[in-house]
Amino acid sequence: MSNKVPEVGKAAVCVNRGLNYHIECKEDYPVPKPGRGELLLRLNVTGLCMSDVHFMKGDWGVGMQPGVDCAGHEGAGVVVALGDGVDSEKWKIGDRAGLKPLYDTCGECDLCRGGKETHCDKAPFTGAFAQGSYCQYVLSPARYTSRIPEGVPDEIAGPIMCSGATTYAALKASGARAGQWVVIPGGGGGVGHMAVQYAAAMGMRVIAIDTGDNKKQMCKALGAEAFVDFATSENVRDEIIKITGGGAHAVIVTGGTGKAYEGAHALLRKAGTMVCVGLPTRGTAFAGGDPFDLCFSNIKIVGSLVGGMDDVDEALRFAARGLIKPKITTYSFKELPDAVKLLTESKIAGRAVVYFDK
Amino acid sequence: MAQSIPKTQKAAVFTKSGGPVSIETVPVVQQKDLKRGEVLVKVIYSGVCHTDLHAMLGDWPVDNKLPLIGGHEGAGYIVAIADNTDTHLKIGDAVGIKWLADSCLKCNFCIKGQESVCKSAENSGFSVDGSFQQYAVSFARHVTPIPDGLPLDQAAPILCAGVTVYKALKQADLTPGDTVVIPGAGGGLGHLAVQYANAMGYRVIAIDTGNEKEQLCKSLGAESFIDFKKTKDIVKDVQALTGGLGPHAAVVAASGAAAYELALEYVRSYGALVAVGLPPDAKISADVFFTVFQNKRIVGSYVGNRTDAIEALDFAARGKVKTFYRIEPLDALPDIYHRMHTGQVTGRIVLDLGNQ
Repeated sequence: MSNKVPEVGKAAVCVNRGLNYHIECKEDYPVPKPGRGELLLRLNVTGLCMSDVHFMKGDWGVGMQPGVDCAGHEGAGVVVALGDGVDSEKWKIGDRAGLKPLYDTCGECDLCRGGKETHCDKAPFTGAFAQGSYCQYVLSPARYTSRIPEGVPDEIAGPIMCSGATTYAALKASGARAGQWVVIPGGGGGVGHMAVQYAAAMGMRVIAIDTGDNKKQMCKALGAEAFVDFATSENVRDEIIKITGGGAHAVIVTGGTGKAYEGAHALLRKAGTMVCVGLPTRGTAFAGGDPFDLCFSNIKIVGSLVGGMDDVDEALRFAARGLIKPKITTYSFKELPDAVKLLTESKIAGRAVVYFDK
Repeated sequence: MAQSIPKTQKAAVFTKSGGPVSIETVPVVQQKDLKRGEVLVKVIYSGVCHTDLHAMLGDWPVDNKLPLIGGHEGAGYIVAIADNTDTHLKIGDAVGIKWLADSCLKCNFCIKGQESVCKSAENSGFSVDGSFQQYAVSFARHVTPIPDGLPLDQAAPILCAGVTVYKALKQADLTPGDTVVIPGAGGGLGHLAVQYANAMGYRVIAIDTGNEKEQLCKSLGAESFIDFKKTKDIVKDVQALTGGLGPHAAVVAASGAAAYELALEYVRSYGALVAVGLPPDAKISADVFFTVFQNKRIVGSYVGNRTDAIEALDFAARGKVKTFYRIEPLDALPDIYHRMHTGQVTGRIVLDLGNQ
């Protein structure tokens, strides 16, 4: 495949951003030229994430900024051009690269220096403050572009950029050790099933909460030791307490609704940690509870936001070793708007991946 | 479950440093003579650890009690509890006797979980009589509950070998996905370390020699194997397997200094050499400049606390870790020591005490 850079390319642009947005697939979107320190990537795939919808709708209180036409932050592809000043020892045309939720960081603040770069005040979010991965030809700062290693095909690398790295970082943040119990509410979902796999690969004992035989089979095949069906269970909490002998050491809440967070911390044993990953519409969810309960049970509630460079690298390495196999449904470029609609209706099992060239 | 406790039993005893150790008939401490806090454990199986040999030879820089009944990998059942002992334990509970027989649980060390270095610590088969007897006195607050379903002969080696390497891996402070090198990976401690490391999500490079050990290590989860007899440069080989950087840690249970020094060389910057072995006369030579410049850690790891023991057994109970061992009768102990001393023992030996 030639790496010649065309003048125009494909892009699924957000039109009428706000609650009534829609997506239009264009094939004549101008291809940008990489500026100083930038790489131009040609993405082969983009994953779809609910965050994309939130940015397009603007219902997190922050939406897509002027000049940003495309949402998306799970891109995988190749470098096709280098801007001035990019070290050609580090990046070459043809190198595999990915676009992730964090577009860049300042690298100089306390947060960047203290291992908390995803919280850098100056960090632009891909798909909101910088052109996202629904655009086939997209720029990325060379210093903050993630490499994709051998052994991880694009359709796996894309989803790992967000859901993989995010859940991996969250599991690290939970402090759970190998042999300890981790509960993943929504374990059969797009982000949830990634959490199940990373937790299992990290040696933790995983309980997935979701519903239906299909999701039960999938979660168990991916490493969950137990599955609790919230639709048929008499009492989910009781079942969790029983399986874990007193409660989980960690709960990773990946669901994007208020319901996902309700009572999640009550699944923990004393000194357990709940990690918040799912980002429901602003004002619709509450994480935590009566301080009395939190104090008496020494509960930690931790907010975790995407993954930094290292987290993405490490998450990709697990995949390169064959330990992570996202359940993927693939779509063609023209199907992207419909796929996003299915996503908003919770009709996609696992992760959706759009191929630009299909 | 009332158990009738016999008045005498068989035990492996020695009265002076250097031995000999002999199997004798000795009295069994009766319930009424147990001091508050003590329990009497009917030992069914006991692993034999190289430390027991050191205790018998008296070649350590610390002194053991004499006469001494050795052993600290005991697995059995509670048959008596001293009067006025505050405990959840009941007669019939399956428990393990580990090296750390007791600690005060009140000092700063104990409170922080550093029980093994408590100044009032007692050690089974060293400062107090251990598990090479059929009825051993141990301490209610420290005996380790053995999970249902884990056979006692499989539990026994976990009580020292398993706990020790498990805790050493925790001390390496690794993240799942990190690489750890286990020298002597086919040996008694090594083959357990490979399994724990694997279960903890780490990537294992095993170092040992011979086809048999290579097959064993790989079947237990080692990603790669280096044969130290065939390699010309271990450091180079290890670095080649880790992208030129070296592993994040090495857990070394060797009996000579060389393995420790090599590990210090091949671990990556910020990496850890976790030293587990207890050779009486070995020094690790560390170049100060490079140890500092590369921010390397030399970490001594000494057995484990009560929680470590419980967690280590849990991995075994769930089938994530399985000891390779051979069962021999108590009577064989003198010969076992001789074989250990002359390097003829592979894997772990577990003494059968319950079926004498």
